[in-house]
Amino acid sequence: MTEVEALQAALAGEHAALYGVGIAGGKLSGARFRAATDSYEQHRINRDRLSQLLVAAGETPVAAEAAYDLPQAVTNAATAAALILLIERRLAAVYGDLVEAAEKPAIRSLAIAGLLAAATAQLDWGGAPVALPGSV
Amino acid sequence: MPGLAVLAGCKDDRTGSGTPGSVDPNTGKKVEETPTVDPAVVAALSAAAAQVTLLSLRYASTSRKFPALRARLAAGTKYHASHLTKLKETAGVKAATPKAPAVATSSSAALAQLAAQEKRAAAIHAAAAAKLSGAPARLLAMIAAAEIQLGTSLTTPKQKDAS
Repeated sequence: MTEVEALQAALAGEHAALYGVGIAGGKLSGARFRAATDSYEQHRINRDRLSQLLVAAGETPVAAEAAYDLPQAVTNAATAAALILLIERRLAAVYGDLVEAAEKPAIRSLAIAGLLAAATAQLDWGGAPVALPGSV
Repeated sequence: MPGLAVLAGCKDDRTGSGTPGSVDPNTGKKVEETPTVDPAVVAALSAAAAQVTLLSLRYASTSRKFPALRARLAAGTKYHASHLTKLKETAGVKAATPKAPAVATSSSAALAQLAAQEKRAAAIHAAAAAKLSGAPARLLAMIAAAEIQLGTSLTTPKQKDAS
């Protein structure tokens, strides 16, 4: 995987995360809703940063899909949290790929930060520690 | 094309065809060559292995002193062992054996001490990952991510309700 391919994959992951967290947020309330709102904002920042990096590299950033297939129906707070947990696990793997493919130090640092953030978020959404977050 | 003509008479499927590779002058047998790993990578992974070994020792010491914490420390003990195995898969990586660290006098202080060590190790390994590239960078970054998770979970009273 090249650096550009990994950047595009990370951007596609952030597009999907925005969709999924948006859907999940609709089933949350109180502190959980606020946490989902914070998560949405962070993923929006990540999406914009990745898009900028691709544009700076002379590439066309991958566009978001109109909708995404969800792994299971989001019907309540528990399934909403499970969706966000799954999103963060998948994003950890995508950022792991980017760490490995990165050629520029700035992109590698961004990828490491993305991986660590996803690993932390997994605990916030009900996940338990794993041996190697971001492994595939 | 001239090149095709040059290659036309060659057969590379016969036993003994091609270059022989390295041969042991004493036995005459072929020697398997191990690819050389960048010394900077070996140094970075060895430093991480030493840090992980120290964390493993801390977990073991804490478990011995506070047996009631064993279940809580099980994941960290297991994961650090797997981290060490992964790090040592790279040729030349060695972990120094540090002295067993002192454990705090209360179980809560011992947990807080372990959590702080995990987070410190995560910062060190994330910084080290940023200086490498490729698979070694990813391995260190994933170890850092695991350490963040372990450090956070050690100081979380209980698993948060997902609802």
